[in-house]
Amino acid sequence: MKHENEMKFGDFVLNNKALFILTFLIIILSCSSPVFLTQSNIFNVIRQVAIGGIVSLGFTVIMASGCMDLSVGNMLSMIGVIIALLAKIEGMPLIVACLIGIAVGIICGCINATVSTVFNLAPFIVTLAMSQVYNGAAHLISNGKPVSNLPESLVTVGQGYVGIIPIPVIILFAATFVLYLFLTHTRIGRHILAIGGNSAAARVSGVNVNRTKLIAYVIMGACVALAAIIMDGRAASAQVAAGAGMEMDAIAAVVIGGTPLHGGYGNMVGTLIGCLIVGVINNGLNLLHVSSYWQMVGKGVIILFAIILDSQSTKIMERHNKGKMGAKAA
Amino acid sequence: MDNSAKTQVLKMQHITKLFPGVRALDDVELELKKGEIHALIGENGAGKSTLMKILLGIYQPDYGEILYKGEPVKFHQPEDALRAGISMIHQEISMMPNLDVASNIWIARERQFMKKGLLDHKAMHEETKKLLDKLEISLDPYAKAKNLSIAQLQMVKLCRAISYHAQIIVMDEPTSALADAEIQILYRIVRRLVREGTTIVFISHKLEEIFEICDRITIMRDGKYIKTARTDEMDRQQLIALIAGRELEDLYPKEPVVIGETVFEVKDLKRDSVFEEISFDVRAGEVLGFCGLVGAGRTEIMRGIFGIDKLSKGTISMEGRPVEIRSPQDAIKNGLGFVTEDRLRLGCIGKLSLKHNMTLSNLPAYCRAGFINGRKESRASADMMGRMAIKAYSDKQLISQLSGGNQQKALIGRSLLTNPKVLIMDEPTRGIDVGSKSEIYKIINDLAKKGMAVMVVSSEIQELLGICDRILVISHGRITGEFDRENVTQTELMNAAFKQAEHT
Repeated sequence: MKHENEMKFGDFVLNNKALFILTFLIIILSCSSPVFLTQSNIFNVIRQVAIGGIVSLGFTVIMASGCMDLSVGNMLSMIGVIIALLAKIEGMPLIVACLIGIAVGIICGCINATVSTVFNLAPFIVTLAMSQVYNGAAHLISNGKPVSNLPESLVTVGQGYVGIIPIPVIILFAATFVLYLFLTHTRIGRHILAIGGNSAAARVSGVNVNRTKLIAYVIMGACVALAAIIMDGRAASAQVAAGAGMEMDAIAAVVIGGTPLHGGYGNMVGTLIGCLIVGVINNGLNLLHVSSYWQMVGKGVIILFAIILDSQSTKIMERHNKGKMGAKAA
Repeated sequence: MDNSAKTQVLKMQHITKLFPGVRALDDVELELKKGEIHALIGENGAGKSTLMKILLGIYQPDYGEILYKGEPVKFHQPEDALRAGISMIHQEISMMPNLDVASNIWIARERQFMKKGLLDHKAMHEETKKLLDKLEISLDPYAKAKNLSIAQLQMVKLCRAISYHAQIIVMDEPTSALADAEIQILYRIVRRLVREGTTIVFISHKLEEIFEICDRITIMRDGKYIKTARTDEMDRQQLIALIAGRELEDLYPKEPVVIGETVFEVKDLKRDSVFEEISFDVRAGEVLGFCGLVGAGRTEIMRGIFGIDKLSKGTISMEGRPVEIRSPQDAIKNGLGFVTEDRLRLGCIGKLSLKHNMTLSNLPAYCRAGFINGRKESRASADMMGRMAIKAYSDKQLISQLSGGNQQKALIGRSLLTNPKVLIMDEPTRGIDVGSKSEIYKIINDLAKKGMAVMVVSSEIQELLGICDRILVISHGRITGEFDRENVTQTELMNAAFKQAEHT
């Protein structure tokens, strides 16, 4: 009996390992830096991860469906530039600029999904190519120059507060909640998990695989646009290469959060924690005055470590489950 | 040839292998003599491939021992068996399409052709040529694998097996994809190998072939060893009786059912170069069986009806009115249900729970404005779990952790939750244990009693005879016979299915 309880606790740790890693990091950093556990620093960390976090949440949907989107970084830059230019137009309400930005994100998602489903191509390749298209488009639209002098309203979205809580933090938590509900409590969410788990079987079960993929990419595009709004506001300008490489950070956060690379399962809260882990590491290394070059190396090593931990714990769990089944059969 | 004089080369005894919930092998034995062709036969799921996987070191037995040339051996991985001289030619084509014949044969063993750290292509191709000549196979060592016919690929696989200096070669249905002339070439090569002292284990479902080429036969059934006998001491009827084994009445609880109106009808279905002129109807309460050899086109017909593959022509009617089926969604909407033969690839979604797997096809029924009503869903899943008598800790358990029989019941449950009027079941008892089998037969019976029309595709003829009212024989993509259950015997049906395939 006692043994069984131990195994249950073991299961809990393995299932929530991202949370344990985060707690561990917080304890270590609280001990080594007095600034770390202050309210302003904590909000600072969350605000820093908000942009990447929202992209990662969308990416969780993509990875749960067994797809891939390498275009999100350049898409983020492009939509950032578009929203910035629109917001600067005299008399343009901010909400209209943002909605157009989100529409662009949705269209980009549609293109990514449609090209790969109609021609039956690997999403990896399609989005890699589209990434270049978005990159070029961002440069064309902005003439390759940063767009600055943004209106105050847009800057508020990125830098403002509601009470004591920064606006990006609110948006990040709201997005986590909405996408968590979507993935676990809606029909389409279930379909996304089904096609990620086994798309041929899902099709035979009556799931419209192509339409479900399309929805996954549309959500991804909308998330990118939302992140672009915050990004413009936070920097008070739109840089042509602001989002470059974001897809890699997103993949890292999603995998650290427990969503497998090959789909079939998605953990939104895990992704949020994954983002926080990356944010806490950056913040902690800053507080401890580690050089930014070493920070890059450290970040890579930690991501690798998290993925190794993930694959090893999956193995441990499989062995454990097999033991249970064997015991029952005998 | 006098068999008794030949020496024993391999003996597997008391082999037992447990899988979660199933005893895949139970005290099985196999004895091979040097230079014989030994047939290993049994129904699907009898345990032949599990036994061979143990011989090849892919699985480890839970109990039992293997004596090879008189010495006890343990193969922990396939390399161990290969090095000892035991190799297998798998049914699937496992070739690197872009490499040539020679490279495919010597794959992973290029080291023996290394010269100064570089691969000596010329030496490798010369060695290949020698091997091909010895076996009298006319093949170009430089030909790319992707340009070869299936028969030629079989030859390459055979060469690869022989190049390991194999003393025992296991051939898993080697002729299933070959034409008659190619089969003769294969026989010639096999006989030649045997004369040189190689032992062949021949797994086949074609009885004629076994009588033509094999010296001895080992029969397995339901994971148990039944008998080993010399081919010349057996006849076809005895063999069929031993393969089928059990008394039909015990396992098949067929009860008389009042058969109603025609609910489902197809006319002149065709899918180019796969099947054509397929017309039949099914009535309420009727169980219609589809008999035929593997590859005859039965599964493909069902896939076409259910909208998985595109039909070239033909009409499908449901309760008298024509329906358009372009996708599985359309099929489900029109009252069709489909339980696949391929649980792993087309059935289970392994990462989802038992509950989520069962409710997948019928989600809209538990949804409001796109949101799933968890309570409704759980109730439906719990009901179905009880109705199908699925054994699991809870419906939250991953479906991949269940035994084959329970997975199959869950997939039947998935279809039944959509309340189909017509249920298609493709090999409903493949690879599951006898207990679950008889439970599934009971389920089929109950469905028929409630007025559902059921179509069953099966390779086990006695199963069809046990549960169907009417049986269609499919051969080479056409309907070649129709029998009533009362007016046909197992042997007649088996003869029909086997003969028709051999004539064409």
